[in-house]
Amino acid sequence: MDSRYWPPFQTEPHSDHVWIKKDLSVATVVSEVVDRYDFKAIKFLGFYVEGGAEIQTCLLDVIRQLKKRLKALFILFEKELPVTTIMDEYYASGVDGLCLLWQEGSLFVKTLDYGVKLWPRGHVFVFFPPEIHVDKKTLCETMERGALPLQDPLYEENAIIILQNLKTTKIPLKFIKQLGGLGLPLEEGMMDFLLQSPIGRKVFIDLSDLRRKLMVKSVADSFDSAGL
Amino acid sequence: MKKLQVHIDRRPLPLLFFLEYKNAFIFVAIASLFLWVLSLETPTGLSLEGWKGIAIFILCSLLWMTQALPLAITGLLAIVLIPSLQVLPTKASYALFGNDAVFFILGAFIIGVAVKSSGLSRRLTYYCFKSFGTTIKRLVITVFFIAAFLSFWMPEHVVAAMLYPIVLGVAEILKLPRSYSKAGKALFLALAWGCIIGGIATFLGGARNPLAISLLDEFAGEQFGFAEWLQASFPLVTILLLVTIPFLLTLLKNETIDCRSALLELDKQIKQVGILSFREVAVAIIVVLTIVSWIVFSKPLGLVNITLLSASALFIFGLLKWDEAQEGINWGLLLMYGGAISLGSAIEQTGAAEWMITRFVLDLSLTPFLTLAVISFLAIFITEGISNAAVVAFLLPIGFPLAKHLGIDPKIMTLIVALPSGLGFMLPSGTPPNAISFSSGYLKVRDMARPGLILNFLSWLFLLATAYFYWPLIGMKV
Repeated sequence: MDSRYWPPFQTEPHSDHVWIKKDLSVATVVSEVVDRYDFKAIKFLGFYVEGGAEIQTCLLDVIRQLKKRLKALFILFEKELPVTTIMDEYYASGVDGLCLLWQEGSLFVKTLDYGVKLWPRGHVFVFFPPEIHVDKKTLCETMERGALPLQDPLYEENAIIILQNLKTTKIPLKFIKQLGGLGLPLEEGMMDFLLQSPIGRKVFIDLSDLRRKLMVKSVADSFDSAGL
Repeated sequence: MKKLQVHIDRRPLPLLFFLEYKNAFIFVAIASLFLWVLSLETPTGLSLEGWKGIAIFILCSLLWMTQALPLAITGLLAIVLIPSLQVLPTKASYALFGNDAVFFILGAFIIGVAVKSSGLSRRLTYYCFKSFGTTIKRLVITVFFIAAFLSFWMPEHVVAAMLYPIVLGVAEILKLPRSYSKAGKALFLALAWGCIIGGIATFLGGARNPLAISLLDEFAGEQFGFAEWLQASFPLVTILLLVTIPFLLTLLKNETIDCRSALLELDKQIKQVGILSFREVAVAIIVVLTIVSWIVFSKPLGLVNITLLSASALFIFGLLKWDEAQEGINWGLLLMYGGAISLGSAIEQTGAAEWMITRFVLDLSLTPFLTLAVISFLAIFITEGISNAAVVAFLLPIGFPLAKHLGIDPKIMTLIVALPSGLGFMLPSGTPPNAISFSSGYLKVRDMARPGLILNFLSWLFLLATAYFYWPLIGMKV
C-alpha cells in the first residue's frame, strides 16, 4: 500500500497523528505531544503504531497519560489486526475510535464485529486502500456490520453507495463530523454547528468518556474476581 | 507484555448508568421522601418538633441502611438537621455529640491500635498456630479460637484485618487452590465467624456495643459495667463457639493436608519477630490493667475515664505514636456515632419515640417476650444488609420506649439489639470480618450463605433461650 494514504485522516492545525515507534519512550512521546498543542483547541489525535506487542504496551501508556491532559478525541489506526483483549485495553485506556485497514478473511470480520460492539456505533472505520477495487457488496457489508468505510481519494460511485447506505444502516456521523477533513463528501453543508462548537465537542467527549467509565471495570472489581 | 487488567461490562448502558449512580438516585428518592414527610400535617398527639424529629430519623435511618451517603456524613447531617429544623437548640444538639460513648470508642480504638502495632497480637497468633495447628483440623480450630479470643479485646474488624494476611499466608504455603479447596474455605470461615462470635463478648469487640450502652444511658439513665456485659454475653458466646465448630469440621471431612510446610514457615516468621520486646510487654501490662480496672473500678471511675487514661498511658510511656493511632482510628465511625446519639436523643426528648410506639406497636398487643423475639429477629437479619451500628442506631431509639411501656428491663433491650446486630454470619456484607474473609477468593457467596443462614437462626434461638432462662438469674428480668 502506498504510505501516502495511511493514515487516512487529513491533519490540520488542530489535529495530528502521533507515531509510536520502537525507539521512543512513553515520556518522550507524551512530552512532545503536550508541548506541541494548545490543549483547548486540539480536536483529535490519531495514533499510528509501528511495531509489535511491546509498542502496544507503550501506546496504552501514552494514551492513558494524554487522555488525562487533553480534551480531545483519540482515534487509533491499526494496520495489523489487534486481538480482542488488546481492543478491550485500547478502549479502556481512552481510544475513542478505531480505524482498521481492510483485509480479506474471516479473522478481519471477527475483529471488526468485536470492535463495533465495543466502541459506540459510528466510532469504528474500515479504510480501503485506493489501489484496491472495492465492490458494492463489500461496502454494504461493512456498513451493515456497523462500520463506516473510508477511502482516500474516494471514488464517486463509492461515495454514492455509502451515502445511500447511511440511511438504512443509521450509522451516526457525530464522531466523524468531530474529526472533520475526511475522505467522505460530508464536510460541506452537513456540519452540525453544535457539534463543531467547542461546547458541543466538549459534551461529545464527556459523553464518550462517561460510556467508557460505565463499561470498563478493572479485574479487581469484576464479577469473576469477586467469586460471584 | 504486562498483564491485561480490564473487564468490559457489556450489560445495557442504562443499567450500568443506574448502577454507577445508584447512590445519587437513592439519595434523591430518600430526600424527596423526607421533604414529603415534612410537608405533611403534624399528627395529633405529637409536637411539630417531634414530627420533624421523626422525618430526620426516617431520613438518616434510610441513608444508613442504603449507605447512599457515607455513614459518617449521614451522622453529621443528623447533627446539622436537628438544630436547623429547630427540633433541639443548636447547643443541645452539638453537645450530644460529646457523649462519653464517642470518647470510649476513641480510647478503645487507640488501645486496639497499640496491641496491633506493638506486634503483640501477631506474636500471640504465631505461637498459637505453631503450638496447636499441627493438623489441618487443629489449624482451622486454632484460627477460629484465636479470632474469637482477640475479638474479645479488640474490634473484630481489626482482628480480621490483622489475621487475614497470616491465614492467607498459611493457605498459600499449604498450596490450597482458591477455587475449590474446602480447607481454604474452612480457614477463612473460621476467621470470619471467630471474629463475629468473639465480637459480641465485650464492649471492645465492636463499636456498636458502646453505642448501645450510651443510648441506654441517654434513654434510661442506666449504666452497663464491663463485667456485667461479659456475664450476660458469655453463655451465648460459649454456645455459639461450640455450635459453629461442627460446621467448620464438616468442610474438612476427608481432607488430608500435610501441615509441616506451614509449620516450618511459621518457625521462620517467629524467628523474624524476635524476642519479646519491652513495647509488647508494656502494652500487655496496660491492657491487662485496663481490663481489671473496667471490672473493678468502672462504677467509681467510669468506663470512659479508664479507657482514656489507658490510651494516654500508651503515649506517655512512648508505646504508641500519634501517627500510628491516627491511621488506625476509624474517625468516620466516631462521627456516625455522634450523629446517631444526637438523633436518638432528639426523638426521645421531643416525645416522637413515645408517639411512634403508641401509634404503631402497642396496638399489636405483643407479649414482652414475643416483642424481644421480633426485635432480635429483625436485628439479626437486617444486619446482613446494613452496617451493624446502623441497626443499633435504628432499633434502640424505638426499643427503649417500647421496653418502658411493656415493663422490659432496658438492659435486656440493649442486649437484645446489640448482640444480634453483630451476628451476621450469612453474607459478605453482614459484618466487616465476613467481607475481609470473602476477599481472599477462597469463598463464594453460597459457601457463606448456606451454613450462615442456619447459624443466624441458631444464634437467634440461643439468644432467646439465654434471655428467657439465663438473664433472669443475673438480675435482668424480661
